[in-house]
Amino acid sequence: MKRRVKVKRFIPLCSMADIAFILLIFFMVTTTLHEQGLRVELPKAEKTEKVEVEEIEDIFINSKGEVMIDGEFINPRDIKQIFYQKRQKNERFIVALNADKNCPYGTVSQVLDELKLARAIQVSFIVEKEPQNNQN
Amino acid sequence: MKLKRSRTVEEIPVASMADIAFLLIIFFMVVAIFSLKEGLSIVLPGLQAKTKVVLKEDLLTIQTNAKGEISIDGKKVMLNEVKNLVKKRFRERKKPFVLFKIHPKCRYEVVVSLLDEVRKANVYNLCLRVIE
Repeated sequence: MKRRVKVKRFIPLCSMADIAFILLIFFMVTTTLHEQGLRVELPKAEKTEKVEVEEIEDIFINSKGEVMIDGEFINPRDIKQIFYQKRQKNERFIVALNADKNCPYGTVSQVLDELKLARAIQVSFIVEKEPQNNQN
Repeated sequence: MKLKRSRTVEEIPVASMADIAFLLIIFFMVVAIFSLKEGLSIVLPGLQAKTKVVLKEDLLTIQTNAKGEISIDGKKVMLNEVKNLVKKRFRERKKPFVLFKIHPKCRYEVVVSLLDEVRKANVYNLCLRVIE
């Protein structure tokens, strides 16, 4: 006659903390990665739309009118080339224009013209949301 | 007489560590969701875009100078009047169209506020042009 050996089965809880911390580090890194860019003072607007973070390409313009893409200052004339290359990797993206509220519109217009040439036609002027006032 | 010392092994409770970590994870996930951006979305005309013909009654011209002063059809107005003026003008028009003539030295904030005001008047057909 065979005797059954009773083995106690349990989930090892000790390693749970390790798993959780790895996930934690992952989320911390991904949230900080989005912050790369210039510090700009955004203008305010009420009637806005939400922009999905996953599908955007950021352009930063500071108050002096300097343009930054992917953490580097660039000449606005190079935007066409840069976005043409980006478009070949990913067809669907929205250009998020983070411009300082005090920058001259001339620079913004120059950037828009270059984007047009690169056929990146979905653009969003990123703003600070103000609560909507429904008075008519 | 010798006292017997009771030996207790001191240790950090590891079992609760997972709970702490998961709480932190939830916090960072929530923060990541809040980092959604808000913007005024526009679609630029493509390279092969055709010229649009607009009726004179459907067109409103808003102009800004270098100082950021606004004028509609040649008349100076304040920013908070723009929405009502646009609404009034296009009350019975089905395809309203707003043309912006913006000075290149005009502050970006003025342009965004103007766009916002025009949107509040439910006009989404725009043309942004730079004129000195």
